[in-house]
Amino acid sequence: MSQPPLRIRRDPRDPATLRVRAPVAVSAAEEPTQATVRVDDAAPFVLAVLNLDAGRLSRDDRDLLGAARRLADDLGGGVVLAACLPDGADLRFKPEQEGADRVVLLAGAGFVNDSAESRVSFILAAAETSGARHLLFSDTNVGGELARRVAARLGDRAAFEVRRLDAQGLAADTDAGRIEVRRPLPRVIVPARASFAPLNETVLREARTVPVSLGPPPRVRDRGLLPFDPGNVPLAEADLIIAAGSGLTDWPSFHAAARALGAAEAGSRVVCDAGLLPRNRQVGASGALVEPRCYLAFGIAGASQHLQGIAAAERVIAVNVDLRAEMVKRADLAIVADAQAVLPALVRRAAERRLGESGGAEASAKKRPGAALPPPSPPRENSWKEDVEWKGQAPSGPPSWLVNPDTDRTSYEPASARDFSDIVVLVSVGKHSVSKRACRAALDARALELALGGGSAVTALHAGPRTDVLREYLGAGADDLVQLETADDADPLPALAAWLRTAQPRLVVAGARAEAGECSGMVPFVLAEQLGFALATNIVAFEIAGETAQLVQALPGGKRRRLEAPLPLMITVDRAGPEPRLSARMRAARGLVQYQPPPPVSVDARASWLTKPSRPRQKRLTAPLGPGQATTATGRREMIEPDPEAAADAILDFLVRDGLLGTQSDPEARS
Amino acid sequence: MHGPDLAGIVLLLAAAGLVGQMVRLSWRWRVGGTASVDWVGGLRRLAHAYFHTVHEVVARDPYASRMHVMAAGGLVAALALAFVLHVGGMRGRAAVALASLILVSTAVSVAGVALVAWRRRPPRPRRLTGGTFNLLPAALLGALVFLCGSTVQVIRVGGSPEAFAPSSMALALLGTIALGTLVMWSVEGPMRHATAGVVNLMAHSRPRRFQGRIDSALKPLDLTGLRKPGPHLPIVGAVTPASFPWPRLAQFDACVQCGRCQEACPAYAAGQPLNPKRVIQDLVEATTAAQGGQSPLLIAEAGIGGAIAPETLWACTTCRACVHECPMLIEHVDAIVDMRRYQTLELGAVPAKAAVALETIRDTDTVAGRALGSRLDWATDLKLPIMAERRRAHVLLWLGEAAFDRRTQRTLRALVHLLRHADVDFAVLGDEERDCGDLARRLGDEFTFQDLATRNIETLERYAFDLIVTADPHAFHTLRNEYPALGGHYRVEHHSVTLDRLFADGRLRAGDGPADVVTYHDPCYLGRYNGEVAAPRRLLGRLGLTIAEMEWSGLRSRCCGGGGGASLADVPGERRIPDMRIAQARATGAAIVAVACPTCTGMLEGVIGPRPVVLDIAELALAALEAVPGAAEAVLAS
Repeated sequence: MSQPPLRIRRDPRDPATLRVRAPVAVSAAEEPTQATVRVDDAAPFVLAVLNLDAGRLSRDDRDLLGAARRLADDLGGGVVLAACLPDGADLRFKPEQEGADRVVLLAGAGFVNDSAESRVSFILAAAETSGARHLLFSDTNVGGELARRVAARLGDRAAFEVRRLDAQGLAADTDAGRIEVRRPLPRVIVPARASFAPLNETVLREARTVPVSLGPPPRVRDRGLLPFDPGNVPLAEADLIIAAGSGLTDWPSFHAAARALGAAEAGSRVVCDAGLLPRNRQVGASGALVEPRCYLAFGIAGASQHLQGIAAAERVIAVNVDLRAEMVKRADLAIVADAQAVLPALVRRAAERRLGESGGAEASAKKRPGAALPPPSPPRENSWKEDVEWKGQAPSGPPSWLVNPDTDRTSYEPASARDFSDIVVLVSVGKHSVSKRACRAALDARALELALGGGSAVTALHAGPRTDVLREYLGAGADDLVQLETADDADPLPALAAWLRTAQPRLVVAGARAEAGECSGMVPFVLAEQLGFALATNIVAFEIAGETAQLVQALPGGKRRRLEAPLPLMITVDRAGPEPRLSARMRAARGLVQYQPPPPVSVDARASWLTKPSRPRQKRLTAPLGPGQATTATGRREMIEPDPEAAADAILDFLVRDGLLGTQSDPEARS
Repeated sequence: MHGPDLAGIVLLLAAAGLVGQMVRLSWRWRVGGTASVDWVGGLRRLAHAYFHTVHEVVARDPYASRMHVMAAGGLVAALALAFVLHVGGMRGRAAVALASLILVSTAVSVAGVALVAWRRRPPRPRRLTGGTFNLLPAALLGALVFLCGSTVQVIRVGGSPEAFAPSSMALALLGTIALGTLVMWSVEGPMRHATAGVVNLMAHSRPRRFQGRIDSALKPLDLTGLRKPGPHLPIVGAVTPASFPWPRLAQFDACVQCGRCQEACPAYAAGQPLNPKRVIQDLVEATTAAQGGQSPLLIAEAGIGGAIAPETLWACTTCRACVHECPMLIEHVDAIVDMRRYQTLELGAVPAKAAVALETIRDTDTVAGRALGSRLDWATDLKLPIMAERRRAHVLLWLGEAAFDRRTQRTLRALVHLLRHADVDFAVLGDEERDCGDLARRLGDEFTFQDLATRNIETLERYAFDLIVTADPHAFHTLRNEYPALGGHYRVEHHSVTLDRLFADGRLRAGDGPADVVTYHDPCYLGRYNGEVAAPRRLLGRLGLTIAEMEWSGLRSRCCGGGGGASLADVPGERRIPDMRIAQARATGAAIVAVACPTCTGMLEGVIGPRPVVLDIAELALAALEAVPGAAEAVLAS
């Protein structure tokens, strides 16, 4: 224990290398013997909640286990590995080799259905049974939601975007990466993505299985996946996009490749103009701005407008005959070859290697429709081109306020006499990423747009200092705005909870997280917990019928599933939510704002935190290129006129490494 | 002198009917808002407005001009003379002279009516309206036969014809029917163009047009009192016909449905759901609907039908081709922008991409969504003089949105080299320059436009300069014509004018480059909006280039499709406007399309397939300059 600290370089691209203490088992690590390390039940435990991808460890899981192991060593305790296996799959790794001292599994009969609620009660039971002091979650859609739900249940002020972690405390980014907070360890910890190196464990551990008992059945019920066609996933949500440009002529192979890879189809402006793909599949400045994890461009030269559309793409693979094409320069893997040669080879090799879309047995098991795309819509009939005749038929049904100008459409009853809407949207002030000006928060704007789809009146609710920026929500359709005037740095939660308790809405809609401030995304979870509301996340559509709500939830990769939840209900909206409308200036100015004093201030848990401006960090690449691969100085890889099969294999390797493709059935086939 | 004869009575009845119809029309326009109209001035300029301003437009179609002069001129002259003859009861030798004049007038008019009928022979040209317009020649002919017959009777009888003779009765009946029809049609029918047209000329919203000047600046909305939030703010923009001041309703009613706007409209030609003629007729119908207590909504809203499809509104490129072609001087673009203002400011109902653009402009003061400080990123090597450091310069170079686009940065770079070579003392605003507000204004967001304009004017007022030069015709038009209403009065020049002068003064010289054939694409906001079609052509000539004109050029140039936010709205059509324009350019056989606008550059370069090279005139000028021996090195050195 008195050894000098080891300096471990986590990531050559990340200047923020971490200093950690030598692990407890360091002596064991130096010995070649494979003695099993055992940790006493009384020791402090760290529980790592894994996502698992069909029973296998995902890259995020490995990073999480690394962080958990190091924290446990620092605390002088052990790691509890907790995982759910909803689809009846088996573990396809050995927990004893992955640093697990205890293992808690939820599989098979334990699941009523795959709901976040049942996972949460399982995790809480696992934490209690194993005596875990800290619970670590990965920063993924699923992991993040579980972390927030668990923290809300535990009444814990969870830490997100954690960059450094030891027994003394942690350092985390808040305010969208602008501020770094140092604080004592909370119970729920979510390390920032790709900030902790995966574990490189050399010792065997006990991996003793701990049995748990489950809590009550979930309130939000899974009603099954909606029909899913990977080719038609909304482009903004797609993880993997295959795009065609004017250099593509072999359309059957293109569609076949999209099906084989489970990729969403997209096209350049030219392709969509020509009607070869529908307009909503257009990528670029005048089409969709996409941010897939990988963008496969076939025969796209890369006009600047198109490149703007893929600016946020994590990786780009380009296949183009022109070495000097802008797309080739942008690509991480550039293949200078004819798309018509590579595409059939890609389809063939994917089938031969039994590679298919990863993640989710339900999707790969489902038979996809043969034709990925609907036929291009027929040209619209231009009836308006008909001759202008003198007598036109007048539209009917005038709105009363238009016909009678004396009707004052804008008058409202006094606030006290008015019932608040059944639907309340939590809104906040955002900060524009370029100008840093206060504006609508993007996710809250989507939340409001979703709420308006219900057709009934919507009240926007905000806690914070008075600002006219919030009027933009009135301009975007909210019927009124209630502003609880809390101090600038006060915790908005008590005020919101107190107001909601009085107003008793049936549905509360919230953006998944704020753009400024703590940005923990905890508000809806804590509110739901405090108010006793059921909660469903990432909702894209809802319908209220009686005392229940039918919901459609967005899942990663553009999938959708139906949920049924009891009212009152809290739902959150993420990027899959509906596109918000423009805020109308006059509507915003005319709308009604009620300012209300906040309830008495409670003690703020953040008092003990230390903050300082955060240093900019470079993101670690999601997967470093493997050894032995020819790369250019900038980490790019170019293949000039390769054999089509070799090019196809290179593309498939790339996708497999990024976790975008997995083997379809045989686990051993994975290289 | 005798009293009026039977024909005279018919004429008197018709005149009385016409007066009644004018009352009905004014009742109809009462739906509209109030407006202060200078009636005396309007009446005084009426003749000039009609014979000069209107006929300048009419004469662009010689057939229509001849047709109208003969048919209308003959009829009006014959009616006026017949009034003297029949109502005044003139007899004797003077009557014979008068009668022969009437006969000559009617003969001329009949020839004109024949031209009307001939023009409408099947198959009727697409742009002309059918319906009652098809019956117009018959009604006119009836009136002319009546005039002619009654006149012949007077001469033959030598005194008042017997009132109850069958021939008199028959003629009077014919006259009553024909003239009655025409009078009836002066409120609801083809003749309304005459009645409403006269009122339009007197009460026109842009009287400067009658002074032979171009008047293309949008009128600012008065926003005082609208900025303070409160429940009782008035509704802004056009939502019903009542939102327009009444002279604008008279203007819509003046439409003669000649279809010239339809022929000129690029969106219509591209098969997009916009036909300017139809838009005006929809406004007319909405006015009629508002009379009858029916839904007067212009655009559908909250499940209630409207007169005009929203796609129509957003397909407009605001190129003013329709306005330029309209013989009745109708301001289509003003109406479109008024309706857009309501959609944007009251409903926020704008096409998705336009909504994003407006949000971006509101949040960042740029269309591209870039930081103001990055406007000079492309020019770090050029070390442009900044106004904030210099305080004064001869020329203030307005860079505009072109500074954020890789393609148009090349144009700006060329322009900077040229100005340096010509020793022009210039400076840029750098991070103090905000978007000029053109796009926000055309999309109906008057608040954002006025906010941007006011802040730009505040900036400009701090510095001393003689002249603003810009390579962006949209900024040029906005700064030159639309900032004055907000208190910013500047001398603004488009770079084509500046470069033309520098070459003329010998401060820049063109070398002996290849004498390429180019075709020049006029930017709408330079040509039609500001009348500048000569300077760019002169400049191209000075560069030693030969111009092959396109099918539509100069003041009648076709839009590139990028103006007024139309490219953001991206309303689907059968074709793309820039594709059509490039096809016209290709037809000239020119190897180069010379452009003078960053928007046109982007739109035309976006056309795929074989096409002429798209080069800004600044790039062409720099190439010509570099052809001068030794000049290229000098440019590099600068």
